[in-house]
Amino acid sequence: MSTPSLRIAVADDEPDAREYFERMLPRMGHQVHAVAANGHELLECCRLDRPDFIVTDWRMPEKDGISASRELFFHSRLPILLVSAQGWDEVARLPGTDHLMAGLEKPFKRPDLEQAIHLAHERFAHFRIVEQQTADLEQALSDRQSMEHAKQVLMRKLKLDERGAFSWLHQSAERAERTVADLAREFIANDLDPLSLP
Amino acid sequence: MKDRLRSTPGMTEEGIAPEVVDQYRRLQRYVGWTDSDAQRVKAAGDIVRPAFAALIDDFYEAIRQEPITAQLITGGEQQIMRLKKTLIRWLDELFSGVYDEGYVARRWQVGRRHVEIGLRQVYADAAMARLRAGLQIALEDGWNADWQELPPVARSIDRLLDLEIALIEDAYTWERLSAQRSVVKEQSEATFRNLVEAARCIILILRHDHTLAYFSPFAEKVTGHAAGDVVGQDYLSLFFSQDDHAGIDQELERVWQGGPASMGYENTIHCRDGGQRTILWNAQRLDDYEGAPAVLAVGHDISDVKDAQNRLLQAERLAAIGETVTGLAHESRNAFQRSQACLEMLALELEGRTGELELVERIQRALDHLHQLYEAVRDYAAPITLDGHPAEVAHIWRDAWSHLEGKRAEKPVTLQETVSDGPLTCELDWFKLGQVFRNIFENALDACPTNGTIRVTAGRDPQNPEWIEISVRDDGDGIPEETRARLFEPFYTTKTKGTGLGMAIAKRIVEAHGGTIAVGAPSVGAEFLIRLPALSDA
Repeated sequence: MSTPSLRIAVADDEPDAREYFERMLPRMGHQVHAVAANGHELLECCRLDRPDFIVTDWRMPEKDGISASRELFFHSRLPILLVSAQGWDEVARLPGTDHLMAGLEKPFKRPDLEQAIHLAHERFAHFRIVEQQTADLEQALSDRQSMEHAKQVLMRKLKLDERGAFSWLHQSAERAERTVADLAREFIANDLDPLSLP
Repeated sequence: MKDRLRSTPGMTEEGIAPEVVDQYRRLQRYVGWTDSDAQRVKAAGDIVRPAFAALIDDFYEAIRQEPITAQLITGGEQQIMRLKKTLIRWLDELFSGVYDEGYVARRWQVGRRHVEIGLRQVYADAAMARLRAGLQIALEDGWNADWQELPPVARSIDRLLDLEIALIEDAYTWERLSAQRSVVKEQSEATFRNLVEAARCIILILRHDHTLAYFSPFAEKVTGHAAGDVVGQDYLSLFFSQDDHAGIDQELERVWQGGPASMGYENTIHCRDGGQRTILWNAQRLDDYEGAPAVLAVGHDISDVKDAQNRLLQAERLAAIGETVTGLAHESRNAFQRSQACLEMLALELEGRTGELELVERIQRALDHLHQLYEAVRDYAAPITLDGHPAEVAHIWRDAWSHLEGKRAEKPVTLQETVSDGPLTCELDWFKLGQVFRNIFENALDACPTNGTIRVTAGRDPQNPEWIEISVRDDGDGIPEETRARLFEPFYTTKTKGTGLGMAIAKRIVEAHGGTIAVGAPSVGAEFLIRLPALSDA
């Protein structure tokens, strides 16, 4: 199990639990970024200085761990491990828990904690990859739509056939030292005036 | 003599029943009988007496000639001789002129005698008519005085003879009435007996000396004792444990002393086969049962009701525990976590100090055990909600078996399956039933020798195909008698490291599926039998 060293923010309303994390996490090769006693404090700690990882208890006064970590997650992605007295399979079935990468049931021992952190970290990495792939696909789709639009306009305005329009775009892009997709977008943005292009 | 008097209708211990005498006097008044009649008859007696012998012979000759009456004379000539003597006395009394209470009593008995011997009333009437005719002829033949004075005498004799017939008829009527009363009594007794015998309650009739006077058919059925074997025996020692004797006696004594009837008294009765039933009793005093006081005890077998009540209580208790445990879950787990966290931190502090660390290790083990127990109780008490889906039973146990690969690596054991053809599908909760099989397999693995065999058979119950039967048998040492009875009891375990809840939970799960689980009694090893309702049209 080789999890890299992480800066971990911890939230738990029990002083014993906070002390435990503060003492054990360093021994597991991690750094304690911040220690919070409830959801509000967690948000405050992480607002300006974001940690690499969050370990949070669920039920805390004023603001619970699930909703606080959800806000953080929506703001920017980071791996979150939930600690709770309730069974993880029950928690995972609840709505609004998709942002939690893994759950740790109380009572747990140190090896359980290590394993849970590792699992959450791995899942998060995988999640990021998938997220990136989705973004790439969205981008590719958008690019294709732009290029198609530009091509259609060129064909009409310059009375070109498909191949002609296609090579026109490519040559322009080469001259302007831009990607075809970028050029197509610019072309559309500039009111589709062929003469605006190099 | 007195006994016969008592049992003769119309007779009391003192003699003739007053109603009979009273009736005779009314009839005398009705026919207009006076003392003059009595005097006339007495006087006529002298005239007719010479004819008595002939009249008597004729009387019995007529009886002999008529087959119906002849068959009543069973004692031959000797009896006829006696009867003739009786008839002479009867005739003498007739003409005695004295018609008092004693006369009525004697005539009544004559009448009764005719009824008793079975003479039909019509023949008694006919015989009297013959006698009357004979007496009239004898009177006429022997009359010496003025002919005009004959008719009043003849009328007096007629009146007297009519009264005689009335007495005889009355005797027959009494007989009919009492026969009717007997029939009614017999019928009501028969009805009573039918009721008692048909009633689905235990009916006992008890004597004060603790003996049993009556034991109903249903009582025979419930207890397995035959009435013949127990009537007359001491009911306390027959049916009740020693400990209960004093209490029962006390309760019954109240009833014996005339106290209010005992209602709703509950105890346990012992049956012939050693079994026990719980009975709810009502008892009351009978002043007279076949001649002596008795107590009538009616008992209802409430064993099944009690069982159901106990099960309900148990279920309610479990539900209450379940609720409590669920409520405590959050707090308890936090407490466990705090203990665990502090223990681990303590271990950090004691780094290098083996003695102290060993203590920490022991606390850890105890904590683990406590947690395990807690979770097991929570599991056991939690209301069982099944996540049911149709599935082949074989898949469940095979899945459970595969999960035990780790354990089997240490001790190789073969799984031998005998599964009948056709679908064996049930509506079941995969996870929970898997738990049951895992439990059974774990126990079986522990029991088996290395390279032993666990045999699983599954099929439909041939007598009741809507049930699927699964048997899991190991070839270990088997389950001892005492353990077998207690196997499904919560917290019962023979292992040093066990919660004793595994089998109890298994039982709850199987029963929640509508099935049953039981221990078999194979010749070798231990066997578990699970029955599950098959999915219809599977």
